[in-house]
Amino acid sequence: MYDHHIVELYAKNNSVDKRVITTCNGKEFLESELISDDINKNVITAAAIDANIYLYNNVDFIVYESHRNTWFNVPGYQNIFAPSMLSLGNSLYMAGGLSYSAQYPMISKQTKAMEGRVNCTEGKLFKHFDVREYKWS
Amino acid sequence: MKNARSKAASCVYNNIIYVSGGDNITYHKNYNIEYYDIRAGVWSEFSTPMPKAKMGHCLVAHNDRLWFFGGQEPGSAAYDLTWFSYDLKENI
Repeated sequence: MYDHHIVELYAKNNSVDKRVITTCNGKEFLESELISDDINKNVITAAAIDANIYLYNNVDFIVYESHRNTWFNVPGYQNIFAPSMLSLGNSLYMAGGLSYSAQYPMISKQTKAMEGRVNCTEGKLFKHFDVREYKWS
Repeated sequence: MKNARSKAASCVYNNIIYVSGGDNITYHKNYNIEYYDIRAGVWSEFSTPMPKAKMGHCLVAHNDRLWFFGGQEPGSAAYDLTWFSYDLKENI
C-alpha cells in the first residue's frame, strides 16, 4: 500500500499537471492521485511539521518521514470523509468530516460517499494529534 | 465542535482555531463560522454568519482578519469565485 502511494506521487511529479500540496525540508510534494477516478480526488489534506508530512486521503491517515523516506499509516483516525486539517506547533487538528460505518470502508469514491451518506454519523468530530507521541485525543 | 460539517475550511490564528462552512449529512448549507480557543478549550460561534454558504473553500487569517476564498456552494457544481473577509476583533 505504501509503495502505491509513493508511485502515485512520483507519477504525478513527472506529469504536466504539477500541483504542490506541501513543502517539507525544501522538497515539493505534489497533490496525490490516491483517489483516482473520483470527482473528489482533490479532497486530500496535508500539513508539514518539521521533517514530516501528514496526509489524509479520506480513508487513512498517513505520515511521510522525509529523513528516512518512509511512509506509514497511523491508526486511530480512519474513514472520515472530508475533514479539515490544520497544524499548530507539535499538534495537528482534524475538524469535522463525516464518519462512515465499517459497511462503507472505501469512501474514497464519491458514488460510495453519496450512497453511504445516509449511514453517516457525527460531523462534529474534533480530534487532536500529538506528533511527538503519535497519539490521538 | 457545535456544528456538523464536512468539506469545511479551517485555520489557526493566535491560538484560536477557526472552522467555517462545509456541508453536513443532509446537504444543509452551512453559513456558520465557529472558533475554538485552544487554551480555554471552548467552542464559540461568530454572531455574524457568512454572507454565502461555502464548502471546499480556503480560509486564511492575517492581520486580525479572516479571509474566505473560493470553494463551492453546497448543492451546486459550480465553483464559487467570491471572497470576503471578517474583522476578528468585531466578531470574537
